[in-house]
Amino acid sequence: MSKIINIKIMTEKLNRSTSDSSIESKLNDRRIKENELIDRALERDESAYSEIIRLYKGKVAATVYSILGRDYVEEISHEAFIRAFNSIRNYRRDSSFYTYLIRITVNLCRDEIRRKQIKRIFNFTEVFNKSDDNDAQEQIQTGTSSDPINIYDAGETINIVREEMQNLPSILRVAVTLREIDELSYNEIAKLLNISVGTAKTRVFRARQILRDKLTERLSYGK
Amino acid sequence: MENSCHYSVYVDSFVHGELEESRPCRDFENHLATCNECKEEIKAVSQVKEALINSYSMQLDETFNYHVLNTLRKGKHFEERKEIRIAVEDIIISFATLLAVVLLGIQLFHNPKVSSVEMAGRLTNIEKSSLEQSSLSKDQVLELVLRSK
Repeated sequence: MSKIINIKIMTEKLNRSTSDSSIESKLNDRRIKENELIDRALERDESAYSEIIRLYKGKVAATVYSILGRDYVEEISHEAFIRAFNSIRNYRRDSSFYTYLIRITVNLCRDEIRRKQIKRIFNFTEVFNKSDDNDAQEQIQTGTSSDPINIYDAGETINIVREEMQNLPSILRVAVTLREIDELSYNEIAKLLNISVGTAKTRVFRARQILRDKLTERLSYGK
Repeated sequence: MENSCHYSVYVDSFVHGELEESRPCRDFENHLATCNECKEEIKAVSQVKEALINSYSMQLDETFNYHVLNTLRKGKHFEERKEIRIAVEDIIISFATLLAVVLLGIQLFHNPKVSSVEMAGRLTNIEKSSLEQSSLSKDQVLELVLRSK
């Protein structure tokens, strides 16, 4: 039972977040702020570039980490920002700059997968390497997990998720990353991957189902 | 386990805050009060989302910003605007020079009253000796004389 989140608390939390009337205005504020930053970046204002990096580097890093693995995070994230900035005059504002940046990041990741033919067979030394283990421990110690009862499970869950994500076919891994980590809509995912909305949904649902089954199976087995 | 409830199509959008204050959201919230299947589905989707976010949560430090900006500086990214301004100035100067040459040419070649031969007859002795001593061609000297007169 310790693994089960209290549904009542969670539903209330979700209701609060979805019924909040300020959501739309916050999104608009974010879009306005982003547009201002882009205007300044087009004027070659260095502080605007710095601000854009500060805003989005976490998401870009998480995307690379999820799709390729930790070893690629700095190199690919760096390249993604450089490409986005160098082609900033080609950015047409038909989507947010964030989506534009994520598109570049995902394309770089896909190139990397093709180029190096990364094998999805992930061995335990990679999954449980020191740095990743430290991350999990750090999250446990700093209480990043929302459920204090599941302190031990949080670290274990992280390791399982990382391992099972690497076992997923890359098309599912990319789709679920875009949905859950980058928080893009299905329309944006479809456009970004050049697939239909239906296919995008199918890939995300399939990936989520696999992860869910594996988590349940392995956490139950570990008990 | 498959969720057979027809409201389950809203679960994903609900968890991702995409229903907001729409009619389906209110209906779905009312529905949740009675449907355990959908509650379980919400829990499962939320758990996977949270697990993924926690698993890949990562912050790049300030040196990352420095490296990106430094690469842009090395590529003269921030000087591009200055270069554009210089290029525009160059174009304007080139155009003005070309225009001046064309106008001068028109003036020279469309003056039927004065020909090179006629001008040669009008040269003073001093001009003739200058012509002989200079390295300029006859036409160049004639042009100078024409302009001075």
